[in-house]
Amino acid sequence: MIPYKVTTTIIGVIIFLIIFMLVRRGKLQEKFALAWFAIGISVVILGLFPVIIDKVAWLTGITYPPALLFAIAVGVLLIQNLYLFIFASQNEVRIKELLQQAAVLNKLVEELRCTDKSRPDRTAGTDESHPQITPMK
Amino acid sequence: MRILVLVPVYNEWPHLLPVLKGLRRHFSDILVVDDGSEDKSFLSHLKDDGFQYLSFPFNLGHWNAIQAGFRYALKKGYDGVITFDGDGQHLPEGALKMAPYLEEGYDVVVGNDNGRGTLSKKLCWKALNRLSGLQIRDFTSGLRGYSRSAMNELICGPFLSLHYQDLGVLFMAQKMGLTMIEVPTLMTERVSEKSKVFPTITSVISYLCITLTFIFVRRP
Repeated sequence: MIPYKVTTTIIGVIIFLIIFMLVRRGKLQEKFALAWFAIGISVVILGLFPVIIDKVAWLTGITYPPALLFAIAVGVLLIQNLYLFIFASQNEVRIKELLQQAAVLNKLVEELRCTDKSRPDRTAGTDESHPQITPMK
Repeated sequence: MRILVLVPVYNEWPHLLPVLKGLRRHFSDILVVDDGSEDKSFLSHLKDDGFQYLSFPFNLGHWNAIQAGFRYALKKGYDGVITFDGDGQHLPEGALKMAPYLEEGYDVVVGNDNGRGTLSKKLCWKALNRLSGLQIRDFTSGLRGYSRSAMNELICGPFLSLHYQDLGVLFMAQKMGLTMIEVPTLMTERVSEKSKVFPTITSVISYLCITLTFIFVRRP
């Protein structure tokens, strides 16, 4: 039987490598990668020295050390999830504004094109020898 | 005073043309906003009949379609906007009633119809009204007038995250200190049998939940 430290270290390293590969391939943006790297590194450290959890649990008065681990994990995931929700809301607002502006700009371009077509000297060619002034709205 | 009539449309175009033709008799400037309807072929019909339109590639929501109309109206220098539902529920005469109030200087004019809706619906609306402390009673009405200064405010940040043109909009407008007035108008039954905002019972429930959350979060 291998010591449990080896198991936790291997799990930690695998998680770290997955995060590292995702960042390398550009699947995760650098600004998000930072948080994930921090998580990956702490997983490796905790895997190498699981005693830390026991020590901290003893210091904080938690009698069952794994409970502390779960509490921290849930906390971290909750914060990350919240952050994602904020990010999604922000993006939705941005998309809406962009789409509204795009629709309006499309319309204005269309209108410009229409007034352009009604000017015969423009559609005929580049010859500007007969400049014609059309009233702009 | 130059006024633009906004008609937001989402998949209800069979009823649209008669409504638009009725409107054209009273208003010269009409803008249809296609809120990402699945069948885009009606846009060419609109074009043939000489109606102006904006079009979204996908559905954003009723209120967001109106906001796009605001942006257009602001760019083109209109003094006010009247929103008008495309499902035949509103009458052009009702829209005509809005205009003088906009000229008088009100920022938001709401056309209400007290005869509308079932008893349970009315009770529900009354409760929401009480909770929010809103002056306007018929806050689901889509027949509204907005002044230029109101439009400038209503296209900004917090208003972009709203979905319906209803309580949320009026609630925040009231908080911002825009002047509002309610005008009695007559409305007919909508031609299409289904409501746009409330097609199913689940949408009613989700609407209620969202609105309640909204009220409790933003209450002064």
